[in-house]
Amino acid sequence: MAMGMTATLAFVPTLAAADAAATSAQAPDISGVWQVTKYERAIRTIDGKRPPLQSQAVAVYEKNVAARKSLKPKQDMARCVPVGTPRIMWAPQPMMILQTARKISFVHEYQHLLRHIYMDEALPALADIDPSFMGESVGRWEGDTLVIETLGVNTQTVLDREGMPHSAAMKVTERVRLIDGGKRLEDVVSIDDPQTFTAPWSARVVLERKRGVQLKEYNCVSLHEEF
Amino acid sequence: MREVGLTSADAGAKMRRLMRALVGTTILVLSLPSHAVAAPPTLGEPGLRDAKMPDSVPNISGVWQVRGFDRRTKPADGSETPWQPWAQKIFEERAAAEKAGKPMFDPTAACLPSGMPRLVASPYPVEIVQTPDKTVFLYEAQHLFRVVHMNAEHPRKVAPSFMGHAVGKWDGDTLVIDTVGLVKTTQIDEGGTMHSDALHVVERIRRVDKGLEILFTVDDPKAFTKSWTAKRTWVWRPDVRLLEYVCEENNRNAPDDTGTLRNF
Repeated sequence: MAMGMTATLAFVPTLAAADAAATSAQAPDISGVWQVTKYERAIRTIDGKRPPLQSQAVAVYEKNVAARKSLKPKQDMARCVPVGTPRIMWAPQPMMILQTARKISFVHEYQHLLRHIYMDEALPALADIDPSFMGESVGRWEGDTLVIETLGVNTQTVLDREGMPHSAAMKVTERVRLIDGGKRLEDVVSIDDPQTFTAPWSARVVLERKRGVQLKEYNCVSLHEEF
Repeated sequence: MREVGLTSADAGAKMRRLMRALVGTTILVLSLPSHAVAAPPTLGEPGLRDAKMPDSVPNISGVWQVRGFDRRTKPADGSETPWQPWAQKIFEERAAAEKAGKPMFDPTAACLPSGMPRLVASPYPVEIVQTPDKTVFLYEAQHLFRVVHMNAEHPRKVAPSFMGHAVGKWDGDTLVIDTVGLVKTTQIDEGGTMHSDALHVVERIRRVDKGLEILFTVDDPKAFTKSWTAKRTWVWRPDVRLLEYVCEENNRNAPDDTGTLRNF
């Protein structure tokens, strides 16, 4: 159809856009609906350990755990505030990936959260970011792996249901790739946050492809349970 | 609002559409000196739609924003909303309450989704992503999203939701979206046009000179004596990115100590 061709021809890509388009053309197709394979209440390092908290952060963590225990179910509106990045990757509800050359969007059923990942752009400096629940994310393809860097996640979020804390300076680097012949998607989530942890550490979450699954509507004020 | 009601430019566009239909060849259409020809070359963002999309499908991917904000959604032909008596009564009660400084409950004040078709008129930007089997709307407002299943049918039974179940197909240069399964708690507009559980919305979206024209038909025989069609124009905003909009951060309807929402 002439209409579509006209639109394509009229797009004059910059050099960077052309490079990005070439890279993304070779990139694996991770678009579609995915769901975590295993529910995890507490975030752990890849070798199953509790993340290496600084001593002052241990106190915050223990306070959070105690606060959660005393919480009356379905009481706090705080449950409707976005769980943020990277915790959303462990939500048990399905999520959908929309993949384009310039942007990859993660669309989560849980709290209908959106992650906007802009491809082949420099990560802004922390000082230039207005902190948010989902943070600012940029992505790039390194071979078969989508590398996502995120900064500017506000400290109203924690890293898991138990209340694993982080600081405003946390940098999250995710390495996302297809495994098991494309049936599963692995996200290795690395946390670099010297104010909270004694060393950088990584966790791993695996999602499986859900063909034919449609995301449902999730409204927190209907008082759903938090995962 | 300017967009509501047919302007002379709209009439001209209508005439040109008619001519195009009569002429029936794309080449002639593209050579017309009109700015309302369906495929302005600068619109749509090839880098923001799934690479698997065939070029033959009009590109509406990218960020858009409604031109002008109107609290009321009314028939685009300038006629009065064809109210059923109860719907008109509620509308007038709401207007009076608002005038008295005591507005009645609006679900968005409890951070519930504004839903369809109210989101067509939302003043916040919207990003559209086209994939071969879905057209997805990502809204800045309340970080909502809406998946339109392309060339698909509604399930026989649809659980009611704020966004409803949407299926779409391209009819020439126009994306036709059919939405059913809407809860009756949403409002058609901020002004207080309500509806029943029988609401069915059909959108006809096509590219025009400066954006997308969206004609949306409200079909709800329980609330209106006949179906009626409203219009909005979404302007292309390649300069805009969606920001994070978290309703609960400024929640005007926080629950009390017992977990009860004030306005429920």
